[in-house]
Amino acid sequence: MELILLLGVLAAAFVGINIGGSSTGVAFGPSVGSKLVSKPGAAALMTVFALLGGWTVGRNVVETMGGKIVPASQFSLTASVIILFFIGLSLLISNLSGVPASTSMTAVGAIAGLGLASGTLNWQVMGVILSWWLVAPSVAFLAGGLIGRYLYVHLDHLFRIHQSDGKMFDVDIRDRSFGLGEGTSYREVLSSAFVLSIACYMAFSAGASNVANAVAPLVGSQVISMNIGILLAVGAMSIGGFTIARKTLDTVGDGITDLPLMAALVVSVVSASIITMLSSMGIPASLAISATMCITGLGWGRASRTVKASEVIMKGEKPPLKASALQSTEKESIGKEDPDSLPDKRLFRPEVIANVVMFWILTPVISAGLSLAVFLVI
Amino acid sequence: MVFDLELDYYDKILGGISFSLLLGLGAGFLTSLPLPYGAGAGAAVAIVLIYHGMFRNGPE
Repeated sequence: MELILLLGVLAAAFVGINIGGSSTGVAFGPSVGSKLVSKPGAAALMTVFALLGGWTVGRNVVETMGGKIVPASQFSLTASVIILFFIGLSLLISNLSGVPASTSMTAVGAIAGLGLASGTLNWQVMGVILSWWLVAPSVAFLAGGLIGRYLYVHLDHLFRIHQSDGKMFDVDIRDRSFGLGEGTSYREVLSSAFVLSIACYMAFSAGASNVANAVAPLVGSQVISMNIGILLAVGAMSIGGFTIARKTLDTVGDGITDLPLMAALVVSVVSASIITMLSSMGIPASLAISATMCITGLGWGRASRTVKASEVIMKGEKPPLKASALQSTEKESIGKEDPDSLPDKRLFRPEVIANVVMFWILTPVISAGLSLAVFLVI
Repeated sequence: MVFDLELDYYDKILGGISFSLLLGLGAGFLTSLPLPYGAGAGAAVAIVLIYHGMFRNGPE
């Protein structure tokens, strides 16, 4: 009994550490990249805001995953450990293959497998969850597409984030003086605070949706209480933030960190809002999927757009909702994307997206299948 | 000035996605249809449109 409990806690910690590592990278990649916060600073902020998110909103998701998809009575300690093992395995595969995995989908799949094997799966709750799994990526794509097609260029011009060299603040403890550093403008302070607060919002939503992935089966089996579970999950995520995230923050190529800062902010706000809303309804949903679909929509929207010179002249007026093929001479107009600022010259790569989406559909199905097989044997 | 609203394919795709999602959510809120199913049905239509806009007539 004690040994299995230890295994369970270790499995939960493994899941939490991995989630913390990747989500710190996603949330604070843009802030660390633009030197607004150090890596340990990012990990500390991650801890605080993931705890806030998990404590307030995240417990709804723990309740769903730990006792509504299948009744809590089904979560024997052994069953919990097996489910956590599946979640950990999918994280491992995703880390090795580099495809952004959906931890939430794998977790729900594994729990559904348990429900199928024991005949206790609540199909109504599953139906509700599956419905929202269609809604979340569509809304993320739509928001990205609308912004990418109609607003992005205007936002980018309106909201340039300037950065001066040197320290942002000039603090002198002896004189008790406090002022802006050399060359720092108030605008820079404001925009930096804005970027950082969006990162904290992202951390909040990561905590809200991910706490359940690490501890819901354990809370369901009632070996630990809800509050202890949340603390355990956030503690593990924090360890991941201080350790693994050092690497994930370095490796460019992590989806969001690849993007220009403005695009990263749009994607963060959209996906964090979707995930916070769903989590408060108790629906497990993946931040990675919403973010990736929003990035996709943004790239698609920007690629679909060609700006006419007339739009630049019509300052202050509503831009025409129109895009037509351009003569090659018009292409130099203001508002055209600078191809050099983009990691890939193409804004939109359908073949990559097709693969990633296929992976998302397969993972929960495979995890449900494996889990069903294991629980039928036991 | 006459506002020349000329919609091309991508405007229509985005409009269609917005419309189907809003219709689904609206049906969920205003009728006896449960919200998740209304929203899910709207999203299913939206996904078909997204597929069409991305893979059938993708930009570039």
